[in-house]
Amino acid sequence: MNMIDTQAKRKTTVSQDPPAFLHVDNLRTEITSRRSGRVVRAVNGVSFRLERGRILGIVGESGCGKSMTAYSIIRLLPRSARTVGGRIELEGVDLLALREGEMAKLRGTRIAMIFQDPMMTLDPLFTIGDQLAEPLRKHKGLSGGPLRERMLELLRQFSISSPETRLRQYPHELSGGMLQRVVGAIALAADPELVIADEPTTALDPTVQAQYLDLLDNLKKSRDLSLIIVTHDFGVAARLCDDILVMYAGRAVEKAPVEATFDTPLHPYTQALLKLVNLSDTDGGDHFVTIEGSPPDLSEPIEGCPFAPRCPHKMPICADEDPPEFAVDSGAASCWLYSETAT
Amino acid sequence: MFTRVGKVPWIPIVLLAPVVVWGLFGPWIWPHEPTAIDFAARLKPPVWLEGGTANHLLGTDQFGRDLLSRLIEGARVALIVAVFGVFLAALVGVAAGLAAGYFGGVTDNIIMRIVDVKMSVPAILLTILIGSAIGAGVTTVVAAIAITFWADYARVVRGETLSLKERGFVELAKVADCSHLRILTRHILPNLQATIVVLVTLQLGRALILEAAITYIGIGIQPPSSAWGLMISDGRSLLSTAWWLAAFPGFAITATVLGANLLGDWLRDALDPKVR
Amino acid sequence: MGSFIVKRLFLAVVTIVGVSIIVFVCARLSGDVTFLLLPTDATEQDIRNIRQSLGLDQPLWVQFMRFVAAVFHGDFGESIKYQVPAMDLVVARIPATVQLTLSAFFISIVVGIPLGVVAALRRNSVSDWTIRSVAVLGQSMPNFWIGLMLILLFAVKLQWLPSSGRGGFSHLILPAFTLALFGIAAIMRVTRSSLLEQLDMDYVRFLSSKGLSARLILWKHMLRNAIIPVLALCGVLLANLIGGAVIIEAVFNWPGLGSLVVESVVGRDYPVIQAAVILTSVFLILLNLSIDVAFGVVDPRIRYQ
Repeated sequence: MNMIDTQAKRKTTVSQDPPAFLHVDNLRTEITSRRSGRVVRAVNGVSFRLERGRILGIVGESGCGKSMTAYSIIRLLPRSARTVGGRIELEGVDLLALREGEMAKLRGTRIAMIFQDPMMTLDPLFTIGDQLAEPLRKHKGLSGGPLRERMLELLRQFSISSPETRLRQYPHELSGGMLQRVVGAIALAADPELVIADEPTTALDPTVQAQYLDLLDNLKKSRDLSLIIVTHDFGVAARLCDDILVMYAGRAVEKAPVEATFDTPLHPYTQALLKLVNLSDTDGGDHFVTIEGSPPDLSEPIEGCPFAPRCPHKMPICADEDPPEFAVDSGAASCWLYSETAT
Repeated sequence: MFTRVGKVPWIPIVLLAPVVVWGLFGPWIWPHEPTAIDFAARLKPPVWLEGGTANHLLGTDQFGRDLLSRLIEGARVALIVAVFGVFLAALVGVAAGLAAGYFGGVTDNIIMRIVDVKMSVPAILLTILIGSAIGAGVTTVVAAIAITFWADYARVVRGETLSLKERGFVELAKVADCSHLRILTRHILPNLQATIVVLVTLQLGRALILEAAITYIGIGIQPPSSAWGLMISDGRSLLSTAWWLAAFPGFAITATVLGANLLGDWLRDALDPKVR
Repeated sequence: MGSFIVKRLFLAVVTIVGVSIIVFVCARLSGDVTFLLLPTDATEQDIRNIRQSLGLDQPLWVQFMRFVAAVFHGDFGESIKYQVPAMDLVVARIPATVQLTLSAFFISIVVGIPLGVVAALRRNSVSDWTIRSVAVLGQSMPNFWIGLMLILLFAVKLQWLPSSGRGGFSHLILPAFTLALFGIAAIMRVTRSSLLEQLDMDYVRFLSSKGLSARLILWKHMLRNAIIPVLALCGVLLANLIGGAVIIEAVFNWPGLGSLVVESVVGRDYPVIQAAVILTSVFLILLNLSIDVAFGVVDPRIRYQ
């Protein structure tokens, strides 16, 4: 198979699909280092689809570009990063083509975001009440008594104890688990349809983690939400997600329904990751196991498959040509193993 | 801001080159003997002004001494005093910082209290105190610079030593039964090189300003030396008739300090001491 | 909170004692002061008498204890030049210095913060580049020289403002502005970098993700957070301005503590210098102490630690 065939195949798969709720196509985001001026291709041609009412987990090691993918969608990248190509369509509207003012109107009302560390997510100098009232005032036009009623109702929906007190408290007065619920309540205050959560439970205690995941699951059902969960933790993904997207070196290497990912992982990278999860589970998860070798430097051009240097099933073609996406059963993988002709 | 990492720092080089050349080769390049008095050529303005002569490019003072030649001689004094003072400060400060960070406990407490005391007396008042105790002169200037700046080294070096101590190789050296002195000089000090180089460069500029200020108020370098601070001080009384006497030494100080500051910024980016 | 104050108070006292030691040691270093007090034809007996009356015949530690006791009573001896208590001379000069320093402090904040905000909001623009370049240039100039150049321009050439002395408001402008230049640059730099730091903070992105306007996020949230490091700088800035005022007062003949000290150092009027040094230091130590305590009261996060 040569490069022209690869490109042709990619194109046809895209145009044949029916319109999705969220459709990310060939997204590319770069980070420019302020010191050295080097350009890191953090997200390099990621495509995926998300239907209404489903939860997609984006999984990968740190630095694989999963968070940058999430920030690209809501267009809240750090100053050093920039989306340089691709399309992000929310019900047919290309978000990347919107002006900043139009995009701002969608934030909070259609797309919302939950961050990793709840201690850092809220403004430390304002009370919970102040920060919860902002989106309700702006998007719902509430004020006075109805505003207060709605705030209390939201806090109760998120199982937050003594909501009246919480409104008067400052972020540092609440525990991490409680704060992350507050963050959820604020993010969902203006009834968004798509919520992006970047490692929402990483900063929480294990017991609190489980409760929070249950909460997200319930909310998804009661509100018909679509969720994107970015996580490095397969446990979180397995518990909550409908579909899994595995990222490596800025690319989506495998996409599949959650059961398929765990039962029959396609990509050698996914297989290796899951092996690690099982290993550390049987050991009690105490010590840290890693895949041999390290991810490639994303500021250098990569020849062939980015995982090839660490791959146990490496073939001659892997070093020369970047694998396209091959549909396999219910999922897809970017790996030459699934090509009938590759050697 | 003026410089980019990876490129040659041209602006600092251009700003610092005259001072270094003047300081090293003054006697060969000055157009006149800096102390030569020539009453026939009193208070000549710079060459581009009405009444200026090409013989005295930057004009002359009330004794007919050539301003450019005196600036060149002043560069030598400026360099020697600032460099010497800053090195003395670095020596004392690094030693104190290493001791405080490495040994901790009582040593750390005592050294940090001394730092506190130093920080609570403004540098210039401390200098005046020393000046009034040991009299005016070069010694006072060097002592003032050293006493003013040592605490900065002590604080930075202490902080970095504390974090280095937590790293594996220092633990390893301890287990291998290396002496404290060996650990400090062989394992910790080399890791502080970049930090110290950056700090020294940045403080050269500040030391030069302090030196000029001390000299200006009369407890620093004494006549007949041609220190820049002294020239500004002398020029003050003639400000309305011969502004160039006070202006040019100030430009010389500004260019040198700016050069040192920009070089320090460049070194900080280039060496990136925090990462190492 | 209570134990925090007690601990800081204890450290403050230790620091004051430390300053006293330095002043005392410097006094001994300055050599025998008796010849300054006596006529040139004084006899051996005269010298012995005066040494005895000054306590110079006692062991060093006794002298130091007496010195500390005197310091805590505000007794620094008589000025050699004016023959009046050094303390009175110093106290008489304080209002002028306070006026100059506080004016410069006020200018630093009122000019520095807006410049820093503009530079941060228009980062990498021409105005940002200009503001930062001027700040770097300003910090590379000796402030006493800037003062002279301003005198040359505004007093000598343009004759808009008086060149020296204390009087009406016009006398204050040049020295206060000269002294403030350093503060403007420092405040501007901290404001700029602190505000830029906020931009990448999660809380700001979360506010954006709520759909709030960039203007509201800036004015309500970011500025308030960005100002905390600026407030923390204020104590250091005030200390620097007090130090800087010494030279500026000398340049502009401003009749404050600084010009008194500079005058005294030429005449080796040691009692006056030590009174000024100790009073200034005690003031700075107490200032820092109250800033520490104030931060504990104002910032709820510190209070709970």
